[in-house]
Amino acid sequence: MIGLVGRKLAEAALVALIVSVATFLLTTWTGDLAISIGGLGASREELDRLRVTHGLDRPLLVQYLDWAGRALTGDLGRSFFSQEDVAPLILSRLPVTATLAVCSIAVGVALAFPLGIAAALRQGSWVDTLAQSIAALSQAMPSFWSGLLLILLFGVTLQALPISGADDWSSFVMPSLALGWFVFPILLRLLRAGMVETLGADYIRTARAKGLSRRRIVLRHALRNAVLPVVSLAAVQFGQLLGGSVVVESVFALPGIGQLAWHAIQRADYPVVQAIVLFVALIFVAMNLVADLINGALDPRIRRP
Amino acid sequence: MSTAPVIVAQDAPPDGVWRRALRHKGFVVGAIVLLVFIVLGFGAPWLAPHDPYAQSLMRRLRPPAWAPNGSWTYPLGTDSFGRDYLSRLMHGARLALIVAFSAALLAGAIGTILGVVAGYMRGRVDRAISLLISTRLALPSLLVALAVLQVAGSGILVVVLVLGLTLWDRFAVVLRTAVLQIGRLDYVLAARASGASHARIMARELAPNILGHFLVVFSYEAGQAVLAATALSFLGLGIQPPEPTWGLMMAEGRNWLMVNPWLIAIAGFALMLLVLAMNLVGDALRDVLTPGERL
Amino acid sequence: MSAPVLAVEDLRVELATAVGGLKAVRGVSFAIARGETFALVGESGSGKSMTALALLDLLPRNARRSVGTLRLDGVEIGALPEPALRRLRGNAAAMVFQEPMTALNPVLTIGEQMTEGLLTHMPETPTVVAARRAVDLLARCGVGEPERRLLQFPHELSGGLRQRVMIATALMTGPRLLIADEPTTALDVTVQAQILDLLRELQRDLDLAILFITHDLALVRRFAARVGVMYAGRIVESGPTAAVVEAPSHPYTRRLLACAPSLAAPRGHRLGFLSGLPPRLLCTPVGCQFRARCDVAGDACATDPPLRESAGGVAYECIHPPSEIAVRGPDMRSPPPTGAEARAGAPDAEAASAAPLLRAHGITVTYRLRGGFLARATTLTAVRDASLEIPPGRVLGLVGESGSGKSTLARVVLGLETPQAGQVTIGGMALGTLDRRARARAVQPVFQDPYTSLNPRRTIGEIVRAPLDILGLHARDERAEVAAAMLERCGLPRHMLGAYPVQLSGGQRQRVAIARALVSGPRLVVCDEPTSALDVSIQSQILNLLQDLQASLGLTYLFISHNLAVVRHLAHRVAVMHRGVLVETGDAEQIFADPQHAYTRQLIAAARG
Repeated sequence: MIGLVGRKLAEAALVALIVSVATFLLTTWTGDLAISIGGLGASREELDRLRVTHGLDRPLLVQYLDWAGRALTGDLGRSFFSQEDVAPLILSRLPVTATLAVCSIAVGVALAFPLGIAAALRQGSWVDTLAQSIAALSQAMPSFWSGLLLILLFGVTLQALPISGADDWSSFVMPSLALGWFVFPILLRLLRAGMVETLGADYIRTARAKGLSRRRIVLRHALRNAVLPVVSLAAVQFGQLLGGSVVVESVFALPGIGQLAWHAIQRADYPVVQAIVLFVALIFVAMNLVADLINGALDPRIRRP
Repeated sequence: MSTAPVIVAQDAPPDGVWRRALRHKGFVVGAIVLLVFIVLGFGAPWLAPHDPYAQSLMRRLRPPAWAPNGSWTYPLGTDSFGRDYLSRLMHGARLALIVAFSAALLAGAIGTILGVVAGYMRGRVDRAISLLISTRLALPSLLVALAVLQVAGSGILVVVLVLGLTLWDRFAVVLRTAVLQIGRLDYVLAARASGASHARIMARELAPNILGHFLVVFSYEAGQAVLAATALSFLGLGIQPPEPTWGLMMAEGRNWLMVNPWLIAIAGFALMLLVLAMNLVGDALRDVLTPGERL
Repeated sequence: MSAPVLAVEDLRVELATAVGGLKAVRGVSFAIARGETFALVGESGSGKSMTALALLDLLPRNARRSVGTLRLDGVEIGALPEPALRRLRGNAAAMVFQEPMTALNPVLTIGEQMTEGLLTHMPETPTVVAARRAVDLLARCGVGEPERRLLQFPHELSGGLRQRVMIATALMTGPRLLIADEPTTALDVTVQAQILDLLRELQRDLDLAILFITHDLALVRRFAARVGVMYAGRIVESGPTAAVVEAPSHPYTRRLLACAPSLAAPRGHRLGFLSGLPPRLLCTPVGCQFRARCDVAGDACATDPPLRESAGGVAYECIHPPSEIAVRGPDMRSPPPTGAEARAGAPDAEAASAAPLLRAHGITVTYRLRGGFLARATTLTAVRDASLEIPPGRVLGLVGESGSGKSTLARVVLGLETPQAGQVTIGGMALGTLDRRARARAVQPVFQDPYTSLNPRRTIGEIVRAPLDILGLHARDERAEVAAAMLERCGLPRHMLGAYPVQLSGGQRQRVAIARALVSGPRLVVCDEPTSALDVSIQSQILNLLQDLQASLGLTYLFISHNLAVVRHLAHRVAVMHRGVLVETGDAEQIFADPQHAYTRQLIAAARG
């Protein structure tokens, strides 16, 4: 297990390094930073001066090392727009996005598990068809659309829930439903496929031959195996939600990381965009690592090879 | 001794695939819906009842024909500029289809090349490409696409390029696994033993056996591309007004949520139907072309 | 005699398939007494495993069973509802399955899997008592360190140990009937022998009734007092094992026995011949189902055959009396092709004096394991300093158990793998110096699994002519004809050229693989377990074909197998491989008569039983 952790950590560090390079190049290549700072009306002399003061005239490698070095110490630069430090800015928005991600995963799991297990147990029956149809439908609905439909229903027609802001728990209900509805089909498909596969495994026949109850066979023997990939997928999904909720945060005017990123993009506030992309990518790498470790803990074949 | 033969997820017999696809309900329904969208979208210049760009302050925000005050002159009503909604929806379908197929093709080309090379070469090349895939997965694609579009400007070509460059990961992952599996099978070993070159093995042994995987992923990713393109234009990036993209139509409809919710409901419904059709075709292809595999 | 532990009458199983109901088991009846072993033997698809699963209704979901009477310990259980059946499963009757690698749940400990059955059937048992019983039974089944095993997971045990665990688990509740479905098929020969010894001991000590399902006639002979031979869903012949095996009555049994290679028969002896394939059992089969493959069949066989008695308490289902079958049965061996004898009879001395066609010297292959990124690699030596030679026109049998390195050595000889040390020369040319085309002309493979050795997207014609295209042999427009001729020579009709592999049976596919290997005219053919995935009757067809081709084309084989009888049948010389090392090489007659190395002796003893 210790060897596994070490190996996964090293891999994650390597991916993080490449991600940082990619992020850096992305923002460097996609526009002239001097113009972003000085504005389109800036004169040539002004731009040259800006390049020197912001160190943009240095070789790319030096610029990267400078940026990455400071990022390692937690200094992600300052916003062009508000002159605030970016790191605290991101951290102040994190709780909203994290709450949203946790609630969305919870919604997705709550929908996927009962439906997925029922569908696998009665493969080919109407339950299965229904579960798969719901999954196909929800997979075809973009989260901003389901969000808007929710607003129409609960916000406008019933007036039961707030349609924007993050004042209390009720603000999170609709966004979590919209995102959870989007996460659920992926979890459902994986769980159903896993259950179908394990229910057909030789060890299930062995368990039946022992005269075990159906309940024990399904929960202890089949689900215990089928849940392994679902757990790690959920962790990865969580990582993705932290960076992928731009649209939903925009629809519900939630002041989270997605909204921060979206505003920064609109204002060409590069230090903020760069920092958020890096931050979200690192979270994703970290969640992947967590997923691997959870799998290692749950699967004896990985834990004790 | 006769142990049960190890049957690897065998591909379907080459002939009869069509017959089985046509017996697959999901495939038939998905394909028909897709066909309707293609006909309506590409036939829009001739089939659409009105000019999708023609504005009129006199007939703003008309409801659909079936709602109170609706009329069959504008079957799906009009938008806030008084443009015919159905005509815009049909022209929007064409844009959605073009973006979906071009982006999925580009992503497919990138992902397939990477996946096949990684799976075939194995070893260091595989590890390097796997790292590339990990990096791609780690970068938040929507954020990156937004950032790039903000500076790279608008237009359908830019959208296709951006989506193609962000959606290739699934192709790479699936095809890498498929090639790794097939590459271990005895018939590839036999081809090597009969002196076949790498190019011949790729073309004659691997390619026909991974075509199914490609088509399955392609139909899913085309759906993903439609969703992503709509999300981008919903946020106001990519293809710009007055082009009738579904995302723009919904973004505009959002301002009239209280007044005329149909503006959002209908475009979103069309989007859902199209993506659903693509996913249904994908599911059916998976059942028919690559049975027994998780894709 | 007391009431039998198990009495079955008129058991039927029907499988729902896409093309209709398949009658997998069609009225099977038998009984097993205390302390007795009854073996059901048959080829794949004969319905033997379905019979075993049907007894406690463990059939797959698409299967329906019906049964006349089914008595366990004198109690009728044929009509019991599911909850009552569940109380019997793993309690009065327990099962052991074929694949020890997959029959245990990978994420649960051995201890939990052993005790859960007992705790379900006797919930008042304290967990400690159950655990102690598990430890006792593990020890009884020859598992060392039983206490530690309870906390281990299946992947931490070897295949043989897992099967011992499976058997111990089955005994936890003290069943009176043990149903063993191919319990040793997935195991190596030496382990197989140990497991059989264990089952025999347990049976004697616990007075168990055992239903033993197997495809292997040699095992039946050693292990079961009585046997039922299954064909197309029915027991076509049953009786005391010795009587059935020594003097088979049913035409099928006679053929099947003649098809099995034996350690006792000399090299070159021709195996029996059973043409065609078993029927598919759709619709409602009427009449003797073997008649299409039977050479004593007549018009009368179209009606359901009667049950006849023959000598020694044997009963068989056939319209013909024993005398008629024995008299009318022509020679069961297939005729060798003409012109074969002359080449096959080349004197040994001449072959021995010729320069060897294949010479492998000091071959060592090591693998890096766990070659993960940044991971510390460990190495595994698959083949260590192996040297062998084969004179032209001879067959070298390479014998070893799974993981012994024999397939790795085969890939080295084929030039598909580069050894870390050592050199292979074919016809005097070093393999490493040949380009891929020259190498392909010198040596060709035939692999084990007919289901993965042919590209499913290419027609048979394309597959067989591909080597000609690659190597540029013959004129372009002649290649199809050359391929067709080779296919015919391998016993497949010309019209199969346009077929796809899925349309062929396992045996037919293996013929295609052989045609592909031979079409470019190589001198050396590496056969890597070419018949291991095939049923006995198909195996004999393929072995006869390989033997004929070897003789008529003057081929040289490196013939790899774990099955000593198959090697005995074909090989002039034998090499024995054990854990990557060639422990003994020599003349086939001599090695089988007087093995020198301890491991060789162990292998031969295990195969003889």
